Amino acid sequence: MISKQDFPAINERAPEGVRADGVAFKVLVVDDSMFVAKQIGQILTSEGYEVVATAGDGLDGVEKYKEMCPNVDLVTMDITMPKMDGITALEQIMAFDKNAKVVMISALGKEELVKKALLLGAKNYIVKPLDRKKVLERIASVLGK
Amino acid sequence: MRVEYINPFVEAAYNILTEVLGGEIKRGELYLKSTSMPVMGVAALVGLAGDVEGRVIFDMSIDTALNICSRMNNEEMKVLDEMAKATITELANMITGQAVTKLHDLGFRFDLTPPALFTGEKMELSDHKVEALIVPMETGLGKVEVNVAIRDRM
Amino acid sequence: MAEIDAKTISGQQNTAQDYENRNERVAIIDYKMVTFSLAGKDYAIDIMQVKEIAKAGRFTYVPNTSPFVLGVYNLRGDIIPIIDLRIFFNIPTKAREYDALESLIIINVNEQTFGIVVDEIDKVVGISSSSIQPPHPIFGDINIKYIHGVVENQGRLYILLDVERIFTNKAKVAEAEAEEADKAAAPALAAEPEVKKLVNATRDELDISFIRDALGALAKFYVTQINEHWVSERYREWRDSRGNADVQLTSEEDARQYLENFLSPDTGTLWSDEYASQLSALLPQNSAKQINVWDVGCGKGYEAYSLAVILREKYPNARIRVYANDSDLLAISNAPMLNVPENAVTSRYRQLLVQGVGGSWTFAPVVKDMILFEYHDCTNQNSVPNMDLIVCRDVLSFMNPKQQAAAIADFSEKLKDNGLIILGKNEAMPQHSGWLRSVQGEVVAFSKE
Repeated sequence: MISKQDFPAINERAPEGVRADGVAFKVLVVDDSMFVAKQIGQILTSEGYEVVATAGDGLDGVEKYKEMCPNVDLVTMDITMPKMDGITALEQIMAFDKNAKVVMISALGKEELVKKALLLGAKNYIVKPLDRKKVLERIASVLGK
Repeated sequence: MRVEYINPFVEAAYNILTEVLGGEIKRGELYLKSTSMPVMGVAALVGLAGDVEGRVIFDMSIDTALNICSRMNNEEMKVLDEMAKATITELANMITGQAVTKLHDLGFRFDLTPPALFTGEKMELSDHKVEALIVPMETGLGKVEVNVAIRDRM
Repeated sequence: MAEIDAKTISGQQNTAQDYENRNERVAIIDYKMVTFSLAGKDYAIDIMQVKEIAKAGRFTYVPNTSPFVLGVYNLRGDIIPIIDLRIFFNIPTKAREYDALESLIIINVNEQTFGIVVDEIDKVVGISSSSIQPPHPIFGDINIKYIHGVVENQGRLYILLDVERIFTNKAKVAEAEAEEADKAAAPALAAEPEVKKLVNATRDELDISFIRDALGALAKFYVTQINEHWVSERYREWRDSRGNADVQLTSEEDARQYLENFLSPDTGTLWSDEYASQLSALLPQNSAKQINVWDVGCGKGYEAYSLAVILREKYPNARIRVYANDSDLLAISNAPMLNVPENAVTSRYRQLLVQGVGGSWTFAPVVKDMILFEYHDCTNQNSVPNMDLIVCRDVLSFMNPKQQAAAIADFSEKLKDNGLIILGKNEAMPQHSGWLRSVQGEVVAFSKE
């Protein structure tokens, strides 16, 4: 009799968002659009990541990071936000924690801006519209897989 | 409006709408409009700054807005609630963002401001002394008008 | 007793007689009227006062007139005021769409022609004038003094308007207002003499008048003081060349042929060295650090580039800025990257061109940076700075008279005191309006007095 175990498990793999020890990676999402926050959240949680908090502007993002550190593995950062933009927020987070892993996610893809962000310490830069596959790949690479 | 600014907006609108909504997107004929402009019911406004001053308005009927939100959120939305509004403003943000990025590559230094959303019936946007370029986009879900008014800082 | 009886009897007999007569009279149709509706009610006008019926849309709006004057309309050369009776009588009506075709009754009152807008024109009805009854205040929403009478026909009740009353009082004032305002709005631009003389016009004058209308309708070319000199000259040639064929322009092709020689030299190409030097000779000395030039209707861009090259030669120490506009997107969209065809590359231009991959020539950055190409309609608000030179070749003639006047006023405002305006070869500023003319070869320039 043929049973499930006889079939090679090519489609089974561990969700990327979960570490080897079974604990999910913790992500802080910073974006002023609730739609984008939801979108990113959906993409991440579908792969096992845990969204521990969202912030609606740069200032809030920096504060939440400081509060929750070291329980944040990754930050996704929008650029165009009220109160404090993403670049400034990035600077402040890096100043606070030089090992912070921040990935910029923005509708703007200006070459200058990308360079500036990377020089300031961002680990990657994703241009909207968001493609699920692209987002997951980039985040996985940042988390060192 | 400066000739070099036109294509980036037209292309960005086409690209983003195609990617995000799917289906066939058709661009209508461009034209210039002056004086106050009636609004179809929902208008997302993104400000422009830098080497220029101006704004981009994405104008559509409330039905079109709801159709677009439903498609982008992958669930049927019947009311223009906070999430729906955030969806439309994000669409405006992405299109303007891509246009500004393209223009930057061409050497024009623009910046954009966070978007704002206006809703209401029989709204009129009165921009005195501003001529606007209208790019009508026919999506499968309704018509969206991209209304761009830019002035070079002398 | 008997007397009274006799009177009564004769009275009865008279009544009987009257009744018979009346019956006879009803049978005679001696009055015809044109019936129409206004806000759902039936009205009529004596056909003897009705010149014709028409359907028309765009009326030329005339400012400073009473609200019931919608504007004026060109009825085959005759400029007539158009009155909206609904507004005149304060009958609530929904707002007009600018372009909507309205039903017009053209009437003639005291040798003056007016057009009146109504909801719907019905038909011509014949009645007996004796059946017209005097108006009773209860009929109608309009002032009784404007009602000649009421009459019933085939079950419908028509209110007969006294057009003489209506149009002798208020409307006469309106006509006067319209004329005054019209004169003020397009000063010295409308070539009045032609139109007014039509009544006793010669064959030629009539023909030219019709040709003018046709040029407007077929080729969007509007004849005013700006170009009428050329149009008249051209008419002579045209008439002779047509020989036996009809002089009238009946198709777009006809209009195009008539306008064959109108355009300025070097349209659509880089300007020849000769034209360039003529223009350059007209430019004044100018030691300013910044020189502004406005190129209205630059088309594909050849004009703007030609200008940039000339100015660079003439004013080597100044920073030159050419503001080039056109409202034709297809034409101007490629202007910033215009390819100059090999055969147009003269030695004068060669030094400022660069050859790209594939051998195509474009202008060097030093020239490109001088020009700002904009997709812009100059009949909208213009926000350019003050100008040293305005070049507007063959553009005004393709704008309607109102727009022409507005554009010239705008140019006048934006032009610096020692500035120059260059129009098309066959165009000219209206005479006696404050412009000095100077000529160099084929280039005609205008400066402020």
